[in-house]
Amino acid sequence: MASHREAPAISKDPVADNTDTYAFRTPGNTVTLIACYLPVEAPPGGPNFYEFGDEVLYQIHIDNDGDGKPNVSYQFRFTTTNTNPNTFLYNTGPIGSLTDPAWNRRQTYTLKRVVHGPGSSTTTTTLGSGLATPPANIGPRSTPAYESLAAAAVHTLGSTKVFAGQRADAFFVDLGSVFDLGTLRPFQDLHLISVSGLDNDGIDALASANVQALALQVPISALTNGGSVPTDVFAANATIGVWATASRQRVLTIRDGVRTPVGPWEQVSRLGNPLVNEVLIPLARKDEWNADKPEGDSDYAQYVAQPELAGLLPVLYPGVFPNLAGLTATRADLLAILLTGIPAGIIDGFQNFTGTTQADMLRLNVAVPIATGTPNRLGILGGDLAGFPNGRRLEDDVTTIELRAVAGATYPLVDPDFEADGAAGLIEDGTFGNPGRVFLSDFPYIGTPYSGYSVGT
Amino acid sequence: MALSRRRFLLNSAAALAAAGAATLGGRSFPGSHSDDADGLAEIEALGLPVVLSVTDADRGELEVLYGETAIRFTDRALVRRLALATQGNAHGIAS
Repeated sequence: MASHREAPAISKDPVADNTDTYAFRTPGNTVTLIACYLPVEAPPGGPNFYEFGDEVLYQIHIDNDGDGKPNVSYQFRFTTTNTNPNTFLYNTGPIGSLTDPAWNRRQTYTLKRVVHGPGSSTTTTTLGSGLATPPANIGPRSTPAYESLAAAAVHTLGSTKVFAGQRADAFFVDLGSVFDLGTLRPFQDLHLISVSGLDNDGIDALASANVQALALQVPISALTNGGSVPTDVFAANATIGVWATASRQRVLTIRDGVRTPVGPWEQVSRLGNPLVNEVLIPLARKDEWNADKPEGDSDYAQYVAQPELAGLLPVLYPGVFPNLAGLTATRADLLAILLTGIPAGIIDGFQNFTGTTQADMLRLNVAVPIATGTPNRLGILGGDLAGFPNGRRLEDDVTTIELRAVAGATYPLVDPDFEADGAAGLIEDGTFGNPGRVFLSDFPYIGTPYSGYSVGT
Repeated sequence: MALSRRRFLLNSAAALAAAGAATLGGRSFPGSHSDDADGLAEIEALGLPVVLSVTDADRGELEVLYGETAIRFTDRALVRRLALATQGNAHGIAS
């Protein structure tokens, strides 16, 4: 639920629904950016397998001067074709390559890089066109060598690598219990509403769900202000802001079965930090939030400064969060984590502060080296400076991190006199230990999608 | 007389072009001259659909959308004609 169906309008428009955004250091002085769309994609997707929207403008944005506006944007536009107009089948035989004549319905894309200049000036470069996506992972007869098909869809465009296609959802959460009045299964015996006979083991609702992923691997120098590769964590240009969006044209005409979008692009979805629109923004403003730009997020700061969820936890779990219940001050810790970045002096050896403009963006300090050994899934909360909220890696358990932060675990960073409740350092939704995600050791890192043949709905 | 939606749209856009009320910040709207036939040709050259939207009837503000573009302009007379046309829907504009 990093941002899966998180707002009323976008929940009815899956192909434009941002689910997760990731930004992390990768070898060779590069950054990998991943934006996922189309939530809770069931693997058996036939006869019309999941694909990107041809009518959607997908973008990944980078802010490198801290004003909440993009300095660089990568744009993806897709085109779908049917090579065989006479069959009802997605494929008429095993798909052995991205050009296999047995593969009927294919999707290609154009990738553009936009550099935003002064005022509204932009410089746009087409990095590639007609780029192939892999087919859906159907099963052993249709896509017998799926991983090689996906690997063939990694394109190298100068110093940039790009991939667009179906992948396994890296996010994990007990969606069913969390939105059942904030039930955290491991602690449900403490819940305000007592229900007997329920299992305390978390259920990962996305355990076999796929997504549509856009992945880019870009030199750090292509993203930073000034084009350098910062090595000093405290350098002014060491931190970049990252978020992804989806836009549709203002009007859609449908005539005799032909759809034609018309007009300027209107943003319908965005995602920087996980779970912001999901659990911090009121339901009545979620659609508005999706249409707004990060530069204007001071308009939503109140929901971060005094999160409703922080007020609910002591009510839903009576007696478990007494210190949180008494915490009425503005949550400066959450404002820093989510809207400005953490300034120097709060965490030893770290900062990802981009300035006073409040904007919901992932903030990646590119001078922080890649973690050695096994990454700590609690990120900075677990002492791993390479993890969330320093950007976001695929393995970061953002649900647990943000639950604990909201519960007060991070408030002592700004007020050392505050003692977080013991429970704040323990709560999780029960999926902490069982994600079962398998990532790749190389780009695009996000794992092979679940096969439709092997996984039921 | 029944009026197809296609013809209604084209006529409105042509009337707009003929009215010459077609500048926004110095930008000329395509077909902004008085010849109806040329105005229609320019509209058709854009490729359908061209969508006309009344954004503020009281102020006479409209917006024409085509491709990835939107052009705003003011034309109270056109807004009045469009309003009359919508009332005429009850009297035979074909769907």
